[in-house]
Amino acid sequence: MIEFIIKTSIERRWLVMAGVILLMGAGLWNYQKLPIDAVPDITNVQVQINTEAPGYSPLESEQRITYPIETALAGLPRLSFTRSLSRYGLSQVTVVFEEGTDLYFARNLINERLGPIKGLLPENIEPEMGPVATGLGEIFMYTVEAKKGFMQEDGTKINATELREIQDWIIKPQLSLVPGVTEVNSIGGFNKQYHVNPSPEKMLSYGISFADISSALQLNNANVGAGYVEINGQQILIRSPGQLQSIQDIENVVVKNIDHAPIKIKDIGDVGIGKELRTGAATQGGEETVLGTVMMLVGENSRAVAQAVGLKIEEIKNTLPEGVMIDSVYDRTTLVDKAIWTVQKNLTEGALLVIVILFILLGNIRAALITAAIIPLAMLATISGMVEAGVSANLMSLGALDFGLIVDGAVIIIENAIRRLSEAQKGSGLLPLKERLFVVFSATNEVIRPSLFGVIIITVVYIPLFSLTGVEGKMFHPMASTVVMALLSALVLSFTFVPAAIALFMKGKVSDRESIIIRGLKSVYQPVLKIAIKFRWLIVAGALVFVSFAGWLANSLGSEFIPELNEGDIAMHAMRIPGTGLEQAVQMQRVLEERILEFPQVTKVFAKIGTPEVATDPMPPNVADNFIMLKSREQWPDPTLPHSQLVEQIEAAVSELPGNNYEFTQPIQMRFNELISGVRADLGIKVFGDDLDQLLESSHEILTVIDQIDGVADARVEQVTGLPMLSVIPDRVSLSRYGINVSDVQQVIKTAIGGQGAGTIYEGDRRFEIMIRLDESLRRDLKRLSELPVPLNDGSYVPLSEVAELILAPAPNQVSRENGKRRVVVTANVRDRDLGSFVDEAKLKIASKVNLPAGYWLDYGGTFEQLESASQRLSIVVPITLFIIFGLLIMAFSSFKDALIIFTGVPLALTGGVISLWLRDMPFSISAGVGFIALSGVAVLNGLVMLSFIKNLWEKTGDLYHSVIQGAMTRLRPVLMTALVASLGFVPMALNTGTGAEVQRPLATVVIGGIVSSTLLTLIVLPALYMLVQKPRQ
Amino acid sequence: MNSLRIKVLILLTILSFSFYASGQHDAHDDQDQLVNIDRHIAEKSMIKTAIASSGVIREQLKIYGKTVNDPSQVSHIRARFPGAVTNVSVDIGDAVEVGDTLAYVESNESLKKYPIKALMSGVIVARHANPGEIALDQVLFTVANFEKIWAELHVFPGQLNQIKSGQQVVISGSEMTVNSKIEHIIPSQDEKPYSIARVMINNQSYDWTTGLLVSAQVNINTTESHLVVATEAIQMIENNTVVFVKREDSYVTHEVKTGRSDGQFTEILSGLSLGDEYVSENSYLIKADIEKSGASHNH
Repeated sequence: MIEFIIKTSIERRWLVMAGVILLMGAGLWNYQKLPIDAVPDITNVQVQINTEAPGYSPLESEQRITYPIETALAGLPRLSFTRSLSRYGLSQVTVVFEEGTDLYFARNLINERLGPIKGLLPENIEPEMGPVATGLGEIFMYTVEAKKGFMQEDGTKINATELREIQDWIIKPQLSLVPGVTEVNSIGGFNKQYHVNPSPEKMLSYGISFADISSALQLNNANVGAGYVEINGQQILIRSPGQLQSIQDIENVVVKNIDHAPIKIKDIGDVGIGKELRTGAATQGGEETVLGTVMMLVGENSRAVAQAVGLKIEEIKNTLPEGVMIDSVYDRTTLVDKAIWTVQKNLTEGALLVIVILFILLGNIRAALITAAIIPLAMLATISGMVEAGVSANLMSLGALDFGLIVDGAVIIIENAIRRLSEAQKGSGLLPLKERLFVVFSATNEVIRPSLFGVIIITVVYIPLFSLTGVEGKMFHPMASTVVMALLSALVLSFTFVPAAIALFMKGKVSDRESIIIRGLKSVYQPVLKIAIKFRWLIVAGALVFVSFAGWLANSLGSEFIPELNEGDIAMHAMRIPGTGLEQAVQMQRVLEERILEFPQVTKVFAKIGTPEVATDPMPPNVADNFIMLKSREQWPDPTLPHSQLVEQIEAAVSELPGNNYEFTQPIQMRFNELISGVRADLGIKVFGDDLDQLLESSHEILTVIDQIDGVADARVEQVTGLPMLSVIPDRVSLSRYGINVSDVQQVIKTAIGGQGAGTIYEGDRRFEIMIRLDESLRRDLKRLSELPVPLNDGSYVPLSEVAELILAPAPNQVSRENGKRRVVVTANVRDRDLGSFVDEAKLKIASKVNLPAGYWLDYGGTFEQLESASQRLSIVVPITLFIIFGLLIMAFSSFKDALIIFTGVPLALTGGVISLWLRDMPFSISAGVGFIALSGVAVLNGLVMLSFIKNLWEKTGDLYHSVIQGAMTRLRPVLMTALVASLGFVPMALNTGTGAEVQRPLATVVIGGIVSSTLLTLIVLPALYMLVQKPRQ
Repeated sequence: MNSLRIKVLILLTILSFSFYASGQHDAHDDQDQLVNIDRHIAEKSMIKTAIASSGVIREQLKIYGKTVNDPSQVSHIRARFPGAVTNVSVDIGDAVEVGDTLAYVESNESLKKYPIKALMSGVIVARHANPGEIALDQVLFTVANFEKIWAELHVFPGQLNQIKSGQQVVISGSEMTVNSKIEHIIPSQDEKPYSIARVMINNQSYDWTTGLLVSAQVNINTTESHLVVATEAIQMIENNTVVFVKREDSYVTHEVKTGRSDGQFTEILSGLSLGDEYVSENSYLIKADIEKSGASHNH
């Protein structure tokens, strides 16, 4: 089969070339369609259902909104689980579907379910599904600001309400139209509202209630169309405009007529532009601002969309009112460009290195160029494969590509072909075409089997990566599949394109001057090899010691599961105590941001506080997401300062500021955390039940039990209370004495404090709510709230304190539910102890010591689950993989012994990797694991090539000793070449500090170290071992 | 003898020392929580301090009511003897003095004209008499004096124990305010659940009208307190009322017992000493810093 392909490729070499050009074309075309992002998308299939409920406290929004929605969703097909969050003014239900569910299908299902329950929800409450975006969706952020020192015509500064109006009605509509944008989310400033602030005294004196004002406004604010009349053949439309247009219009609305004297709104209160009761704010550089976040539609190309948004913003700038500017504060393009640049650098450096090394070692520029051509060709083929497989290009998927490794197979073939061609030419000068083609064919055929097996084995070792699930799976599947695709395409190229190209381009005299380096090396190698064979027992024993030392060393290395991709910018949660108000938080942000800006590395800092308009991230006002944008490294005072140290410095600086707690992360990572939102501690015990107090009590009982177990660290109960709440509890007896209902009192409180909508003012497209609310000075004074007059039916009044009790007490700040039940989570981390045994002990102790009431139950989760399932799966998959490799080796040699000899190469290759990790003080990570995987492949490949040669020779000559020596000497060059190409190709990666370094550094470090040890092994231990095992035949 | 005295002296010294030490220890236990904030940061964070001193607490209560005429200041004038009105010399709105003749009536019995005179000075607010008309027992003129009107303020049962006659009030209605005091408190007549506090309004300038809804800020209590702090300084930590005292760059939590408060200042009964430098503005920051270990953000 393979022989036939090689033969055909050589005979139909022009056809192969045409095929290659076709492949390039397909690759280039697919490149246009390749989704490019910085990091892989790890979001699960989820739909958020956000319901805004102005004024609702956590308990009310849970009871009235969250519960009906959750119940309606039960039993959806492919539903994985639901979880919900009920906060002040917001209910958010997150529905997570099984992996692989089509997002639009899922949204349709939910829509279908939400339709019928709309009647069950309170009036004016509309559940809405969140934007069709993933964790990668927030691709662009900008602030809308007034220019410094700019004054409007009336001598005032442009205020936050006006800026928000510009954002909502000028910028947002235009940006929403950019293809690929699904949502533009605003936070900060105030929604413009027309406020009617009646004075309670005046209302009392005229006997006017809030309801009177509301109905007066609603009855005097409408346009009516009245059809048409036909007069003299003309059709005339009739309409009666009666909408309120301005503050004056509102002021002149007549509320009541007392003895024919009209009482207008202006007689009982003030009308003005007011501030909404907002749930979120934004700051930049310490100043309040309006922040827009552009969300990308799922599956779009983030770079393209971000660029289009950037261009659109430049256009919009011209349409803004004077004195207003847009500042682009976050642009994904930067990060993606950096990632692409990293990959490009690797590609070109890899190609150059290959050319240089091959030229030096082979002394033949054409051969070097043919090998180097594999790199772009394999890359283009990989791109086509990625587009087909739906893998996006990012630091993870492209980060592990090393073209030195990938061209290994081709290098072996080319090296052999050159050697054979020059040998043949030595005898008879320039060869006739037919003979030349035959030499190429047999040279290729000679080494194709080992290199084919080698590459297949490298591919097979990637299988364990495919067994990872969840977040790890999403991060490493693209990496594994990209590497496998690149390897396979290079493999196919090496037995089609390579022989064809050799046949085509190696026409002239093939100079195979063994370069001085090779000759020098050979003269050193021969005596070393002979000594090694002589003292083979010693060598093998030494190798054993070396391996066990490395095994011990490997255990002492730390480990980290998932590498953190450095996005180049910092995201920082600033957390305050629950109950911290927005204005207070803005104050605290000012000090915080000014402190951060003192760092010379920081160019911008901005923050979102609380919940934005579309509640994609429902934070309470006491939490702020800070984004710290860094300058490019050249502008730092010390450009070599590691990123992590800068983060430490910032952390140290900001922790001096009072009242804040911090958590450092990165913009995209933070978004993923928000969306995936699992328990991030080692162990999470979820307590389910009905009564919040009981849940808390049981959680604390569990906490006490856990705290006594060995190895526990930072155990705590999720914070669910602590929101200061003023409860106005109506006194029913007293109410009956005054002849009013509970709802009368509640309506007064609601309107007075929270405000009551009373229609809309239209200004062209723009629409603004009219609110009836008490003046700020009255609202803010809690003491005077008890004196608030409640109107009675007979026109007199009673003070609020007379009919209700006012109690200020902490209350639940949020109610979390999962799968339709309330829950409280107890989390704990484990230090210096095996996670599994800790969890078992915890389960046992909780079961015996904690007595849960009926209707309450526990659920154990946390990262231990993922680790457990991952290690379980790996403990099955890894042996199977090893077994498959072994089987392949037996197939290749049809000898158990030979296969075993080659297999011993793997641990020796790994020793180098372990030592280099230890030398560079790096932990063991999956990234490093991928390096080990690649390494075992290389080790096997080298061993294969070497042994198959020796074996062939031995079969021909029957002299084991000389076969080993000669075979090893012949294979010195290709082994060194592949080793040099692969390891030098990784040197820039190993030293990389830029974007993507986190994935590449451990990998490159392992491969470089491993290749050094593996090469030594192949060259010295392997022949010795072979001599040892294969007794010379008689 | 002498050595014994020395021994006793030593013993006493030791005892007093240990007592002193234990006393100090107690004092230390009270101030359990402490926050250090750098001077510059405190300044930037606008943490301001004030010195705890004596002060006056003015407790106030707001109640509402209506302005009414003083019944003694309204006179309804009728004809003493029935007869025909012959002559009317005043009109609505005219100011009259005591003894001014308002009209003449010719008595049906004596057929003599007799004058109808104003019995008090004031303003004619109603006139039901024209020449030729017969005056029987109807009211011919109403003279009212608005120089003195009353505010009848509703005092609900829950407020009754705080309101006493003699208390100073500031009455405001429409755009005007006037100072006065509560004259007396009477129960409401028509079985209403509230009592009525009556306040006289001096209305020389005729700014006030009757039937106006007014609000009244009543000074229900004015206490000279020997130790007050700004109300803003007081925070709650785990159900304890606390004030933060600044010592150089550190802020110490003092648990305090509060007394009366008027919104601006609050009396401190215990836990703080005169002259302590306490955090008067942005004390929330210090509370936030103490409690922040519990601040987390679970997604």
